[in-house]
Amino acid sequence: MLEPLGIVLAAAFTVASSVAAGRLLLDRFGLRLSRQEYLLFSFATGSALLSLAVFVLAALRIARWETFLLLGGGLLVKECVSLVWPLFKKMDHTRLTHFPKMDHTRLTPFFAVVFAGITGVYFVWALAPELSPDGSTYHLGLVSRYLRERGFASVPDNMYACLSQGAEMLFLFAFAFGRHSAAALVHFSFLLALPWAMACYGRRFGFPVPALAAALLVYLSPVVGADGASAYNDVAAAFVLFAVFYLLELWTESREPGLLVGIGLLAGFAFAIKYTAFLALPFALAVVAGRLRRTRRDLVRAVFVVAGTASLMIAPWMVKNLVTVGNPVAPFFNRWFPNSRVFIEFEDYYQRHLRSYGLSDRRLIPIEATVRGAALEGFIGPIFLLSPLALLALGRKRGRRLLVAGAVFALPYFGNIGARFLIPCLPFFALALALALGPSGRIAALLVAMHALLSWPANTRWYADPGAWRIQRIPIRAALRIESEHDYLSFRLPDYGVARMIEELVPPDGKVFAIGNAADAYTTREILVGYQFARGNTMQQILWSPLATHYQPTGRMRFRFAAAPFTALRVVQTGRGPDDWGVNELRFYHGVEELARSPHWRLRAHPNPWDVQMAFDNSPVTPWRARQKVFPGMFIEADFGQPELLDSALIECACDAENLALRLEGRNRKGEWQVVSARPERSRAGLAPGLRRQATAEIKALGAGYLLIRDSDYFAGDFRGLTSLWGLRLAGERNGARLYFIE
Amino acid sequence: MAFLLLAGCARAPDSYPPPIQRKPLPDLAESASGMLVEMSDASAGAHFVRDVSPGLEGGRWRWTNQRPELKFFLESTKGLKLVWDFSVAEVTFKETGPVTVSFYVNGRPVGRLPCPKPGDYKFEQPVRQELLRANEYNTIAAQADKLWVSQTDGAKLGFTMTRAGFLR
Repeated sequence: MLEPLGIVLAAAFTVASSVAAGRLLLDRFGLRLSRQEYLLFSFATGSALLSLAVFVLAALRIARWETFLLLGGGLLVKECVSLVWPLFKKMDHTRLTHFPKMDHTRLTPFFAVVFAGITGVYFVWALAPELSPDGSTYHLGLVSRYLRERGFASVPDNMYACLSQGAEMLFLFAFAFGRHSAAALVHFSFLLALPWAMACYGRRFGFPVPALAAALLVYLSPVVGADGASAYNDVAAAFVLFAVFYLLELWTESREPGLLVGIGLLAGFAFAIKYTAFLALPFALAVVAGRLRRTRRDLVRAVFVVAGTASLMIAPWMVKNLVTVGNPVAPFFNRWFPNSRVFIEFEDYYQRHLRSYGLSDRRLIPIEATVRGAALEGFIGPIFLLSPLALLALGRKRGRRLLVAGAVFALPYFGNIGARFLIPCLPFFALALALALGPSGRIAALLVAMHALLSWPANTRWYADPGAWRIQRIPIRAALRIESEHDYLSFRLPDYGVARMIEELVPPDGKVFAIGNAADAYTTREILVGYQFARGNTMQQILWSPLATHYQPTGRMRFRFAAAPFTALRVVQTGRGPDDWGVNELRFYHGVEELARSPHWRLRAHPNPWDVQMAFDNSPVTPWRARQKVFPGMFIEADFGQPELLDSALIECACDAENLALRLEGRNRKGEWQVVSARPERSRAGLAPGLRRQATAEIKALGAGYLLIRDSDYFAGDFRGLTSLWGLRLAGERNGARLYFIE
Repeated sequence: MAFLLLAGCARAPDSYPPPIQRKPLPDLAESASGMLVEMSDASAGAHFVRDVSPGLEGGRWRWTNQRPELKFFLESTKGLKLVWDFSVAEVTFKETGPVTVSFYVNGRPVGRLPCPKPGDYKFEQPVRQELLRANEYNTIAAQADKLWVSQTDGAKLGFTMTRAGFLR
């Protein structure tokens, strides 16, 4: 029983430290807030500050439990001293008020019972060992790594590490004391804060009962519950976005300058939690500018305060990416910021996937996102099919503001149609819906009753797809650790067993290359996942090149020309199209003699200059590829440093590169480039033997000593049946995954 | 913020020297046995084209069906002979009686071997260079003139084999 208590205390310590930090900030501005709002915004702004502080500790590589204890302990001691020593009493400056007294109707106990019931479920789920898909992989995998390395010591080969991780910094604080479940409980605290903020908003602006109903509509939503009770960050982002809106509404009423600091801080924190919440800052700036458009001086000052404080939260993440990846907004916008860590080809594919999730028809989104849930990785509940009724709130000022904010924060959804990406706009639409259904809240309460019935974990199977992500059970024994974490995870999370196998069989400095995600959060060994970074994309292609027809290096293109001395030759791509361009080897000849590659050569390519050596390494399985759709002007070049007498050039490539428009250009002694040949002879060659061994040797050379192949991976049977031909040795096997040692 | 965006602007392509040159790695199976595959080799499956049972029997032999075919990558075609070690099983011989096995390289016949009784046989025959292709995969095949046919499912069995391929 002590273990779950420790986990809860670790999360509570994180939340309490956040609140203490927030109070330190809010006390400086003498804001006029109700007591509930004061606590609410203390938590919101304090979370931002604590997240920033942990980022700084991680950047200084002193992110460890001792420093967290010092930081959190210091904040709490300051709070305690303030409470007992009137000289330091903190509320001197903040003018606390009360909300107007709420008329308790018969609905209040009903709402309380519903809230208490589902909160129990969420709490148990969060306290139980973490098995969420993203929580057990990259959210906590990265957190665990940061703690092992005491911060950002190395650059993970993982594009998820490029995403802003404001919530993960709070997870890191909690993880240091209570491991995985403490991190999930920290997110659970945001899940609690979201309906609380909505309820406060309703009380503040005169529709308390509908707001309570709206809060429950959001809180009960299956994807909100599953997400908020796991180590994700969507609910945290939704809460912070709503807090920004709430503060803007308060500022609109009171014009207290101190609120602008909170607005800026939280708008920046929204970006720091999740890129898709970036609209908080432009939204805040637009609202502020709209309200102050007639007073230019106030406008400039207000914009400066909001943008400046937001930058404090945003800049660290952009600078980190700029330093480590060369792209401040990685893994996106790689055309603007070309870099070696994320391929444009991958970004295009990834964005296409996020916009479709494999759905054949976008008209299916409403039913998938609300009812079925398998395709979009969760569902918000059938009751939200009534969301269009929220438009009836357009007739009211408050309703219009809510709908506009909801529409703005819904915009990123079109870039990622996963159901949880609807969470940020749900509070606004739910409040507008409840507002539209009348001030008594009775109809909204009826919806809450239906929603509660439909969202209760045991009942979602009535309508949702079996594979839809949601809370399906109430694992009390696992939460209390009566059932051990190992037993629970071994049974519920197949990848946990795989991660433990890796932990047992791979040495501490060993790296494993895997095609698909692995439960990184449960192993200390580094797992390089093929799709997660540029080198991984290359490794995956190398691994498949002996077998996948479109990767096999069987294409040949030879440019023949009159023998002449050249100081450099380059192959230029002149066409435009949807395909990528690749060269496995580029060779130069005089007669039948290949020009030996000299260390004095200089190799260049555009785009993707970083991989150009792969076309000159004499390995048929390693290609230089443009890694984006072809456009005129792409080239690959060898500068010989001196004139070389040549009469042909040979491109060895995969057959997918055979249909491109290529020409060969040469540089003469005078330094002038001219077209040497524009008509390559195309032919096919047989596959050379030994490609399998060559492929795994290259994987090893690229840093991975082990391969993890699941039975569901492409060509898994070939690895299983021809293990020795791949130069592999089976090291272990668990839950349909085989771990191979590369000999 | 603007500084950050500007600082990340595209840079001119870098240039690099040629890397360490890789040496070809021949397939383990081919390099170790001179293009000859033992049925018990872990990598034997890489050579199968058709009609060779995936299951290894008795730790060293496999059943064949109508026309077992295997492939081998040959870097050179000079002075090679086709080698095929196989057995006619008693159980099939009872039904088929004496059989004659014909051998092929790249689809062209290279010889025949009569098998008048059950037991082990070895076929060994030099292969004319013009039948082979250098630096490409070459196929070898064998076919018995009579097959054992299962009365229950119609499955056809030829003979059992322990190794096949080329020797120099």
